Amino acid sequence: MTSTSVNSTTLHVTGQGARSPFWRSPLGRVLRIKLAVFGLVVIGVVAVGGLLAPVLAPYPPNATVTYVAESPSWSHLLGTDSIGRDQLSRLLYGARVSLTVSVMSAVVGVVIGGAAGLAAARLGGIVDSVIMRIADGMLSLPGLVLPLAMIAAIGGGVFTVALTLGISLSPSIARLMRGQALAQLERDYVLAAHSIGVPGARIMLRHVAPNCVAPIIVAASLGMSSAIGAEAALSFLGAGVTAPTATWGNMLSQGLEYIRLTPWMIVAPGVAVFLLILSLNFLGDALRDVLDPRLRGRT
Amino acid sequence: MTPIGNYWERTLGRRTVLRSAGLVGAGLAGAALIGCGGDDDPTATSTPGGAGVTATGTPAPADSVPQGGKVSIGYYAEADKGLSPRTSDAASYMGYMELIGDTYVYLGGDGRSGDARHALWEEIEYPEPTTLVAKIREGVKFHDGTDFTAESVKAHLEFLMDPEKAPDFRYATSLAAIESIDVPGDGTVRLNLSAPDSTLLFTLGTNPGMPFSLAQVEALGNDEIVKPALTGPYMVDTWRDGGAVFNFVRNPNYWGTSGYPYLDSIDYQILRQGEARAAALESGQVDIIGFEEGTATSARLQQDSRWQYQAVPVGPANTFLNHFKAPLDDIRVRQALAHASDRERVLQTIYVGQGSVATSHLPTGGQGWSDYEPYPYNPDEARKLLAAAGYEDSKPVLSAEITGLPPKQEDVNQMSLLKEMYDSIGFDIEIANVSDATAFRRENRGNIRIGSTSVRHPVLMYEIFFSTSGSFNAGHDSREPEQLRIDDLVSQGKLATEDELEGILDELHRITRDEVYGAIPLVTRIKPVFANDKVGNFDTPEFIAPMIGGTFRPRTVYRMDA
Repeated sequence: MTSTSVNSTTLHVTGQGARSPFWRSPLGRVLRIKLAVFGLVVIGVVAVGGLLAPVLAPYPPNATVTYVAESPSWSHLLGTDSIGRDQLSRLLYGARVSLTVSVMSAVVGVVIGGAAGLAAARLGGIVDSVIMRIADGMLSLPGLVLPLAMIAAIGGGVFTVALTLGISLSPSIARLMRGQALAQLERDYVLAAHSIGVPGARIMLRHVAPNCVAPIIVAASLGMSSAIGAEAALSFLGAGVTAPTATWGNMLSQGLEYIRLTPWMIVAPGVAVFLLILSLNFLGDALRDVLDPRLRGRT
Repeated sequence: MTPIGNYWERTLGRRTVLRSAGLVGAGLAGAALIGCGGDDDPTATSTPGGAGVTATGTPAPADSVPQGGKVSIGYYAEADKGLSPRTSDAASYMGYMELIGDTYVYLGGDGRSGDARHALWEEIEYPEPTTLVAKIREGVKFHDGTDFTAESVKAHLEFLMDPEKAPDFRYATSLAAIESIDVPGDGTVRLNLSAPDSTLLFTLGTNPGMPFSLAQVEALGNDEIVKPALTGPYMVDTWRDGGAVFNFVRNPNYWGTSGYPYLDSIDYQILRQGEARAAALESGQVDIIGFEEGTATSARLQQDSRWQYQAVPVGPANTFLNHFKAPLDDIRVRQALAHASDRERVLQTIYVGQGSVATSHLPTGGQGWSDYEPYPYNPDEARKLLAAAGYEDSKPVLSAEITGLPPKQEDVNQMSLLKEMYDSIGFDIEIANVSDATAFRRENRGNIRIGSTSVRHPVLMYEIFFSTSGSFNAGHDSREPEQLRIDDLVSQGKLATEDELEGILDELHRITRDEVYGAIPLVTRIKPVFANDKVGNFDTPEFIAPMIGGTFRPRTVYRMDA
């Protein structure tokens, strides 16, 4: 059954690909996965909502515009929060924070982790050991401990949270990059480059790194979803982005005291966090399926 | 020597004795009173200053109280510094500290009376203003079986005053008037004071006056802080999870004559979220829950007839100002902030209407309280003052700090609301979260923060929060005339008679309010407490009268179905 299924899928892909090169490209193959399309749509909606928040939001996000904990109405589609601010406006502005933190943390994680992984693979020996032991040590800490400690030391804020989450992501990226790079270093093209006198650093950056990028993209996309959850958790705990900046996490935290009286106060940010994380996971899974040669046939 | 109950009545009513007695009355007045005039109470002995002493607040007779059973309490603050008076120092701890410890002086009942039956000093006398002689109660033992004696009083106080032996004890300055301690050998202890101090007896009715066995300290070392041996009706059984769970059991050898302890055990569970505490009460997991302030959850529970309800009055929430730092070193900027503070809105929005608008840094109606309000909410006037201060075309930037990592959601909400108010009249408020550890380092602070002045003794409140020597100032040495005047008035307050004290407190109130010095009072809060119908003695004045503005006092409760 499995074999038949795979074959039919492969035939289907081949058939479409024969009609259009786009559908054979990585993006085309991702777009043929329904869950990935769902994810992209949600991410797109959130991104547009966040980018156009100043236009779309009916009220300023930090202005107390009416009574506290007001029910949803035509004036306030998602009601108001515990000090009378419009929930919809804060949800839209909160999307900016979530996306900013997720993208920035992924970039920070990839840059730091990627560089460390490449260095460990290229230099080996004591450098490799030290980098990997540091990574092991960071990975041994429970999820939010490292970000909490860093935020306690250097303070909160969007960029601080993104930085700390990026640093937390970096050890797993470093391990992945190191493994990929070590595999690439055994390939003939590296030997060829060495033989014609290309410097080692250049080989790593211009040849090895690009060949390692596919799994890193997958890891980064999944890291983005983790970062959104972590940012929401940090803000929920009051240790993330500083008030009164709207984030989905601090909206959840605000609504907690009203959970029995006005449960809608936590529904909107809760659903938003859930959908965005789910969508990023769908997208990450799809990217992995498309970019991983071992899984390629299954798409 | 005069029995303590008679002593209060005798000394507090007579100015001459007060003066010669080193102003014990003023000290007790702070302990006592606050909040209640005494004229309509036939049992009260009132003084011109308004302080009174009554014999109310005594617990129910032991033979009418069911004995045994367990009461579980859901609380909001961890005992993270342990359960020893040498480290456990916050006002919110005193409710449960009083279960396991007794104090030399009992500050009790309805906030005005001291029931001498609970005090470790049976009799107190001031032969001269700088000498206090106290007769030690006999037959009292610490939980570790050692005897409580005059020598143990001397050793205890000397231990606390030695920074090397008690480095984590925060209130050593409150005992600073004690120069030396003698034990004459007749069951008394004599405190020789460097100067009369009317606040000393109040101090000795709180943590500094709660003796613990030094033998236990020696035996357990630092572990003693979670297993202290005190003298109270309950003993520490367990303490774990950083003080999130702890349990007290009956002290079978309790010395008291009041019938305590009524219960076999009392369990504390720390549940930080109000809704989690409410759920614990509703599910029967706990019998009593307390709130740090009025919230939506407490308002909801108040409407539910299943629960007994009490409101513990506590000190006001304030916007604290760092007037040592620009731009708040300009009085016009401070006045603008005061005019921009819409207290009614803070009360309704943040405290769900539970409490009252504050005009003083002291609890409403108490000694030293005044409804004098020089800066009512007036945003237009605030804008004018800002313009006059040179901020017509620019905005003064104020760093606003929320203490605690993570901070309380109520503090976040309150600061967010204040930011909106202050920004709307031309300020630029930048909010930051900071650790609690910075709370006592004024020089390092930002411009504003929120906090409460929950110290019930008025002179001590001004000393702690407004004077140079107060711990809240952390030794900041200001030469500003207002600061010097406050320091002088606080010193005078410690020596004053009741009559004099009234004028001193009025002057302190006027300076701090007119000059917008130190803090802008916003809302006088309450701490709601709820219990199920199995909890008896929940409605006594003693239960809801906080000793130092902290919390309810569960010592009095028993279990109806025991």
